[in-house]
Amino acid sequence: MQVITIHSYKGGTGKTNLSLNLAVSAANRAKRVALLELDLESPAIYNTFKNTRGKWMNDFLEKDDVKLKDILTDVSMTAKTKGALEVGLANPEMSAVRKSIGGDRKEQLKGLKRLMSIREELKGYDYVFFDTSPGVTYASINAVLTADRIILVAKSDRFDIEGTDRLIAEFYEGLEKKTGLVVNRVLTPQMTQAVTEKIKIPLLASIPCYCEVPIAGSHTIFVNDKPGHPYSQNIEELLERTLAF
Amino acid sequence: MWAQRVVLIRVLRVNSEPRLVLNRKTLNMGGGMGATMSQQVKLLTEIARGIKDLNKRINDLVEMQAKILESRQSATPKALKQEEPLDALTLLELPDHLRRTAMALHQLGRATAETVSDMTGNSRSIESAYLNQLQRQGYIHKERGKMDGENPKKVYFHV
Ligand SMILES: Nc1ncnc2c1ncn2[C@@H]1O[C@H](COP(=O)(O)OP(=O)(O)O)[C@@H](O)[C@H]1O
Ligand SMILES: [Mg+2]
Repeated sequence: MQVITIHSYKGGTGKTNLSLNLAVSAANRAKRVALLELDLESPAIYNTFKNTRGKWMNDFLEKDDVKLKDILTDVSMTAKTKGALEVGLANPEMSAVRKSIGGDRKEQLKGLKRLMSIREELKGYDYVFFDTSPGVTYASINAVLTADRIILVAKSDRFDIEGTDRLIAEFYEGLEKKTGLVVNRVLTPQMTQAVTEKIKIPLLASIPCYCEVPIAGSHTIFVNDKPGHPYSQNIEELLERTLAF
Repeated sequence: MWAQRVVLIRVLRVNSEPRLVLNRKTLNMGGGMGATMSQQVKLLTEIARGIKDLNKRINDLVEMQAKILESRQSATPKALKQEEPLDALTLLELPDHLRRTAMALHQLGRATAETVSDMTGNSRSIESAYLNQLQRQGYIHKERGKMDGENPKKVYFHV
């Protein structure tokens, strides 16, 4: 089992889109896949998949007696995947969001322990993807600490490059984890070059800005809806590279 | 910078037969424009041997220190700091060597120094020293084996 965390310094870099499409793409290869939403601050995946279980990732992280299998929703039918795809959704209710940020160190330690425990519980799965919140929040560091591989997503604006560079220097370097870079929403080849000149981790993909991605919205899954579109091909290649590096 | 390195290598030569001494002269001999291929190869081989030797000595030193630490702490009464949660942000603030140990223990959940050392690649005695250090700081717990399948003679650590 491989745990793959998608993280970034800034918001709006395309993490949720990438996580969703990578998870679907992996499940399409007849693999057993789970996608867990650890962006507890701004949940989004509930827009794509309904929660039929009544329990959320938040419950799993907070309570020892809630197992992951109690909260995972099988979405293979909705997503039309060949293999099994299950999702664990973050609770979008404001009270839950507030609670997730407010926890003290002890509660955050519990969250980390719970997340580490999924290695045991999801032993039979091939891939587990974590979608995270940007920057250094408890939920996202916990997700990074639990990961085998990390995909760091950046846009090519100056603030994002600066921030991502600092995130790597001050945070990632001490963790000694396999970390690769995706430059997303690229407008010109020079933009990718500007990022790779500054950020010296392996480049996994440079994905252009396609208007079709936001137009498709959150109700469809891009790789399944438009398999011939270059974004879908970018996702396939990114998955290959992520698993290989 | 170079001067410091040369000094370091000289210091480590104490108590051993003379080995490679890196200085401007030897470097110029091998690295200069006039050096032949075989001179360069010879120098590189010597440098590689020198580095290997250094590595071994540093490891020996660390291990010696770990043993001293271990014996010291078993002799002194336990003055434990109060319990400190080893949460993600705390983990990030630990020095590199302790963070590696703490991350391994997080993944293992509950383990002996030996199991942690299998994961980190350090020796058992070093891991034991690091784990005890984390325990003294209140980050982790330590007890004799008592769970199913555990050896009651062995010490187990957990977060
Ligand atoms: N390659 C792309 N081209 C154009 N728009 C994109 C691309 N990737 C993502 N987007 C858009 O960017 C916005 C933010 O994406 P999202 O996945 O929600 O980011 P994050 O989860 O990092 O905040 C969305 O509107 C999404 O449709
Ligand atoms: Mg998101």
